Amino acid sequence: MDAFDALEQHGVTRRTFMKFCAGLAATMGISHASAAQTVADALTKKTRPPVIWIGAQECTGCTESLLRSTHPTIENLILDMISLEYHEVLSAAAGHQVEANKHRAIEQYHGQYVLVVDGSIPVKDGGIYCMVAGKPIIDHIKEAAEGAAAIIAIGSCSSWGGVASIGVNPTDARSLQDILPGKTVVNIPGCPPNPHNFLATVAHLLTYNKLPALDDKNRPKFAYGRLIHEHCERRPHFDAGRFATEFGDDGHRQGYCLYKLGCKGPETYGNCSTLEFCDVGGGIWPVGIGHPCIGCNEKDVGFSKGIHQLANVTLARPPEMLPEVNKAVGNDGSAGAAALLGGIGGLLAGVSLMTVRELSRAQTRETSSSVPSSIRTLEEDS
Amino acid sequence: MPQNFTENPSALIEATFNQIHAEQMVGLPFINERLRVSAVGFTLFEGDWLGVLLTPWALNLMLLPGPDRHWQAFTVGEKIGLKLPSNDYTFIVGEHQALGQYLACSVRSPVKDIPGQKAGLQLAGDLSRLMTALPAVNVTEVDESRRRLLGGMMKQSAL
Repeated sequence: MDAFDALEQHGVTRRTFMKFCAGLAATMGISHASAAQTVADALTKKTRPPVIWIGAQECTGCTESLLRSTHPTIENLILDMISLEYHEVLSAAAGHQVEANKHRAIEQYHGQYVLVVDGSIPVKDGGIYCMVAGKPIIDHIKEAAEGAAAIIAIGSCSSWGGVASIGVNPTDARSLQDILPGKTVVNIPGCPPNPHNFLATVAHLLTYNKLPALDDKNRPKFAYGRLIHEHCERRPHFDAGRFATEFGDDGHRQGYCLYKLGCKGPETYGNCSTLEFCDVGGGIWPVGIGHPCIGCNEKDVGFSKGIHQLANVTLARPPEMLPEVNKAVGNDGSAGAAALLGGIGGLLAGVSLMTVRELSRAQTRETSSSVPSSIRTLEEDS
Repeated sequence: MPQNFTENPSALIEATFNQIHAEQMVGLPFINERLRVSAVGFTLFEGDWLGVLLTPWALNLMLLPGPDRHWQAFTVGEKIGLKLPSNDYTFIVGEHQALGQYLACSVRSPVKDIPGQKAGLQLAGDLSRLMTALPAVNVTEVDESRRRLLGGMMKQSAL
């Protein structure tokens, strides 16, 4: 039985799987024509990476977002792509048995497994505010990190502290990187992050046997390379100065820009405006349903700024995608411009491509024979 | 609302966005007061007006319908991938009373870090030239898609 038969047994058709792979490839920013096949080949290899998933101070939202996807095939794909050796929420076993399972997995797959942590890690008073099996969670995580081939912090809590670290931070909640200095931790912030960003990271590991390119906050560039504001569907209204000023006012009803309601899109990096929220689809993401972005991806923005507060526009951190430009925008002439253009090139997942000529109705009909049939969608490509 | 532009729309674009600047953007914190509205390098590309729009709040590639062109009806906010000689870019459909529908691709927004108008104009000018310049092709990258393979076979058999 090949991998495709196995998938079909789980209700995932070959076509669905290839579409999914094309989507993952697009999320990762791989644009060559055989991208979907490359990803599919990697995912259908016999070996699935063992995953040890540890929850610290978390709400299980990250796990929920992965497993309660709207399209019923996605969770099957996740569980087929990875071998989840340990996950407190999903474990059938309990008590000593589940703890023993974890230790067995850590030993058996030493040096091979992916460690995923969701939730912030409390360090105050020796870490006693999050105990599992009679031991502070920080000890469990440090132990598991020793034999990990890759370490992923999923969600804002483990990426930068998240909700539990805000204000007085009663448990001295820290990020995963804080408690694992010197180790490479891939941060996938969001509350919760889109599961596709996690899957694309794992798929990248499987496809290329290395981590995707990361920004200076160790976030995959393919997902956190640009501001949410840049690809926002309300962006034309921003450009033209059309703002909603109150919830329910005329501008709000007409889908105008939410900046004046406190939208943090101009200071938050992420692909929410292209992937939307989790796996819901149909234009469903905060800004899509009329709520300003709260900046959940960004430290010092999400949960710490009031929802109504205007976004800062002078970012403490220059966008990693455009390194040359930040030194001297425009002064350096073509080098800066070329870097900028290079940073914005490429297509988003699900966006169809056409030539300028094809924008015109009449023209398309008249010259259809001479125009190369370059209208294609990613779906067709798969 | 105009459907298309027989003449170069640069002056109208500048007037429109200057008005937006004066009426809608006053005092907003993302405005870079060292920049002015400028439509840079607008010229006909495949029948439509392609150029770069620099404003104190954004730097966009921009496309407006050219003479006798009748674009399909798009929805504001719709994303369209456009093939330009340098690369493919994702544009978003925009609309304004004075301009009708246009396509814009955000290069950068906000633009607080552009030091001044001179630098902004140079950057916009470079962008307008580079976006229609042919890229250096990487001949070593092999396109392995089935479509390409079949296309290649057909070309071969035609020879």
